[in-house]
Amino acid sequence: MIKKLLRKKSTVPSVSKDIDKKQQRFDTMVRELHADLYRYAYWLCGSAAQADDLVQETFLRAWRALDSLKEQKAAKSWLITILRRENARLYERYTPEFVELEDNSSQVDAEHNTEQYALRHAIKQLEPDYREPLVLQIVGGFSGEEIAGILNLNVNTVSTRLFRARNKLKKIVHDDDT
Amino acid sequence: MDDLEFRRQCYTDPYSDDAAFIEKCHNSKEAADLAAEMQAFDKQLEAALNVPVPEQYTDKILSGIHSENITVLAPKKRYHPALALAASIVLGFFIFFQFTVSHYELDDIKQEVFAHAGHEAMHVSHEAGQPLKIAGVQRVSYEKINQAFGLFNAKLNTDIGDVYYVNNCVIAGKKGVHLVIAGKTGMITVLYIPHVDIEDKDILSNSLLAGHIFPAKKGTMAIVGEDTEQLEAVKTRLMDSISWSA
Repeated sequence: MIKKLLRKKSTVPSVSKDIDKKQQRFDTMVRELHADLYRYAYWLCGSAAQADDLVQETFLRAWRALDSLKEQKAAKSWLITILRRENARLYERYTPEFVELEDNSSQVDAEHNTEQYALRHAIKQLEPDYREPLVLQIVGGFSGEEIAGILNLNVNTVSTRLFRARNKLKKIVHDDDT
Repeated sequence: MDDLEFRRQCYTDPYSDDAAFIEKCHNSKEAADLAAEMQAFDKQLEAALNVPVPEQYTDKILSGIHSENITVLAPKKRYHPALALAASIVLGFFIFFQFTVSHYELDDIKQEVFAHAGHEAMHVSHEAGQPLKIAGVQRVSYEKINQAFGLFNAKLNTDIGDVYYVNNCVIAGKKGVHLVIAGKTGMITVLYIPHVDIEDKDILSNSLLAGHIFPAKKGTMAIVGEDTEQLEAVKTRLMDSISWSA
């Protein structure tokens, strides 16, 4: 009986191939999307360290649930949704001190001009309801309809918030110039 | 499209592919100028929003995920009654290794320790005979440090040095505590990994950093830095200071 067991054909190699395919698919997704995800996280939570934490946790959850992602083209919005959920969970656990906007400008903008520094500062001061759709549009490349889906808003509300975001930022920059 | 609607569209999405928007740009110089102005502004916004991404970030993310992977066992089959004993022995080993760290997993954790060390946004410089210069960050309060340790029922009871960074980072797949402490000639990274137990201390070493990883009363500690002279002092202060409640 034991000899029969030893002669039985193992199917582990085909399981390993599936794992390899999954790994390749996931690695590609990380390489293509990590930068946009990090930047979105940074502007969402206002902290480089917490953005790093959020992104790592997001990719970890994405790895575990990768089989549920049926269309690769939906990967970015799927990751953003996971990240937003993680941010909400972390924000509820931590005191606001951990998620308040930090001024990393001395490091982040060390090599950039003052105009960009001023604009970053203005974006940081923008209300989150206006900043988030703007980041999703410009950094994420999402359309108004896609942003509405991610944020669970209607398209008109998204349009209004995008308008107000640019309007406010344009005014701040214009006032700084005059 | 009237002027008001056009202006609104420019501010909502200056790269709109709406037919009426594009037609307006073609038919009106003022409209085309406004669209061009808002597109130029969007370029500035894009540059401002594209903050630098941490270095070697892909590798760091993937190393954290790879340490999550477990050994693939043979898939479930239609068990012959005679295989039940063999299966239970395999299951027993699997359960055993879930609660200890194999040599392979310890190497992954060591890689993660190095990945965490030195990614904080601070400028550090040192000249011989001079105090360490640190720019870009402020010292962190012990209240904040103990909030981070508090998640794991731990706290620091005495001063361990000047701490410039604290965060509940994901380490080896779950949250831990990441501190950065000023040494005399460089910064020292401390990682508390509460969900990992190692059997014995081990050395951490790469071309830039050195340190140790060792068991704590609950979980594992890793200390690594450029200032190797201070590592032992930091370790002693840390382990004398930290305590765990229930």
